[in-house]
Amino acid sequence: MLGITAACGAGALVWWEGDQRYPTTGAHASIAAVIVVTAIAMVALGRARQKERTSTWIGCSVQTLLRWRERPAAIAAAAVWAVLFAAVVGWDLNSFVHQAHDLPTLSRIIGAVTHASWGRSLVFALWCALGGTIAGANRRPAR
Amino acid sequence: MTIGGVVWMVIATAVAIWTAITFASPRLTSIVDVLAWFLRSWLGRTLLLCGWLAAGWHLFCQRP
Repeated sequence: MLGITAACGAGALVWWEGDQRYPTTGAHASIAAVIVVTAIAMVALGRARQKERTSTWIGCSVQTLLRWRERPAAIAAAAVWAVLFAAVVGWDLNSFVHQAHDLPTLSRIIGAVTHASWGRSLVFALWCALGGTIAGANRRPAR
Repeated sequence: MTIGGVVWMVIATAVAIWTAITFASPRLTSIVDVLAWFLRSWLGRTLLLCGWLAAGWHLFCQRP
């Protein structure tokens, strides 16, 4: 019953968000509320359930990079992801700096989608799902 | 299509192809593996959250 109520509430929020527009108080308040709730959820869900300490995480990552010969395919694939990410950021910065009509930024392209109510609802739902994943995924089991 | 649009199409196609290849081969690091790596520690999780909230505020609350 609680799950159904939560699903209905989330659906209503997504539908309502679709009708909001960027300069309105409603848009600012709803996005700020989602951010605050997600940040609180991340801290609450992660209390003593993070897989690794940050220092361990950094050390293991450095060791993995230094011993790249043990898993060359995995390291090379991660490097390709880094290149693709750099391509997105770099081309977006280039487009932003030039401010030309034939060089649209990524946010202008996404803005063309979120201009429609269904598009804003869809992107908002995907953004919330990603936020939920960041807050709750990949935890140690609760003791 | 504009020159900028063509470049975005090329990047999006490259991302889609690489996503498919990495999901097909367990030896390669997929985007899910990258996400899981970030989520192993508080620092990685916090960095992701900062990027996520900045993207959300920019996309939904500022002029695109």
